[in-house]
Amino acid sequence: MELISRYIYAVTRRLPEKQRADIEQELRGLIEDMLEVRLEQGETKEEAADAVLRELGEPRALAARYGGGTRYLIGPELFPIYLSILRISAAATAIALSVSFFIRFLTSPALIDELFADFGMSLLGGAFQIFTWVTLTFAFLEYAVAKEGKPLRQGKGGKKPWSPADLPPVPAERKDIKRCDAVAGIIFTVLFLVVCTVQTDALGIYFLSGEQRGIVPFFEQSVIQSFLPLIWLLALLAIGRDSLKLIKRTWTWQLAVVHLLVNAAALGLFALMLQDGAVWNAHFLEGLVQYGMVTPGSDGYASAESTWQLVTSRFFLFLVIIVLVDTITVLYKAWRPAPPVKQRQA
Amino acid sequence: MADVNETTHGLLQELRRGTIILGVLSQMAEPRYGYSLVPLLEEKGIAVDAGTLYPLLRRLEKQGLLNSEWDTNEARPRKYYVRSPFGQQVYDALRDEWRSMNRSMESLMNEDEGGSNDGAH
Repeated sequence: MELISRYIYAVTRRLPEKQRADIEQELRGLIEDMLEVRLEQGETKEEAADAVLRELGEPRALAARYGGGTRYLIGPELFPIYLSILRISAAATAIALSVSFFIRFLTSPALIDELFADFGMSLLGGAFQIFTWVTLTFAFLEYAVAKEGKPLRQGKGGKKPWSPADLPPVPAERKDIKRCDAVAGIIFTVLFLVVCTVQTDALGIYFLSGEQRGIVPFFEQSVIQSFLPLIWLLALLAIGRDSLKLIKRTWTWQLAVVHLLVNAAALGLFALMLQDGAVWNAHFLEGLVQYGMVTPGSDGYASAESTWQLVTSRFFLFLVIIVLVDTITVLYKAWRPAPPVKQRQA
Repeated sequence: MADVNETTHGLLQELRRGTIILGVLSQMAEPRYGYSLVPLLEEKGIAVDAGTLYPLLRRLEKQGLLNSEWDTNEARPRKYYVRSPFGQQVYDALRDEWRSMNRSMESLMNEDEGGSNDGAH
């Protein structure tokens, strides 16, 4: 009975390998028993086989009943957050690539066809990248959560039985994480990522009028690109952190620690990138001269030179200050006492 | 408005899910193979299709409520299930619980039928 074998195969191939042989034998026995009853009632073999398999139902459904618990790549708990992160990241990538396209168009309008094709390709590539990384991150989260056997939203609590005392306090308004803050963080990260990956030479001084159009970039693209693996790692950490904020929606000390660790990692990466001056465009001043902004030997050239030197030497300090301000803000938000919640008198 | 039959069917399925487990456990004092249970349960008014029963037996075995053994002496090898000592304890507890629940439900629903039908008191 070929149909029967096909049915059994369709069921067992969906089951864990260890159980296949046993279930196959049992299922075959069952089908033969069921066939026997029908054959005794005078049905033909074909009729009986058809009826029996219909009775047992779709192989997928039967296999699902054998399967027990449902397994997810990304479960219903995380799926809404996954979707919103995906949407935000996709939008941010699209915006960043559009801006990049627009900048290139401004500097070299003659290349419009080429630029447009390139734009399409990078949109496609970016979409795949975003989809892959966000999905992988969430699949990992799901795996970790499923392994732990409890939903992510629940606090810790280990094996202790739940007690009402475990209920988290209603977050005070000031401790709330605004959704738009976390979203802005993700958008910023994605923009940063896209700029570093695709076009660091868009950061620079623009010359859009006059004979020559072009940009004098601040950074040396090849040097920045040599840091790309680390930049991607950092960006994933940052997106993970902001996703966590979207999930928790309130400042806890754990979240603050995660936030500060990511800040520290970012600062470490910046320090690494800036430690020798190689990341800066060595031909920056020459570029300014080339576009006719300054002429060598003039006062303007001297002041441009000193400004450039000041900026490049102090840039890391500037970043440290930004990160420090952010750190203090977070520390304040996470550790200040919550304002008393208005309570109705019982 | 949802269809009465459809809604009833959905809720009944939920109700049946638990009773089938109890029904199956009740029949497992003797070793039985899956298909022999179908007519046995049907006779007593508990219809269960094989596609539900077989995975269920396996699950109960995995939970330690049933033991199983292949009988390969007959022409057609069959897997026989029987209540384990642990399954016996669980079954006893479930059965007692079911009976008391049954009494409570009866009295609840009698009360309802005895009261006024339009709900005005």
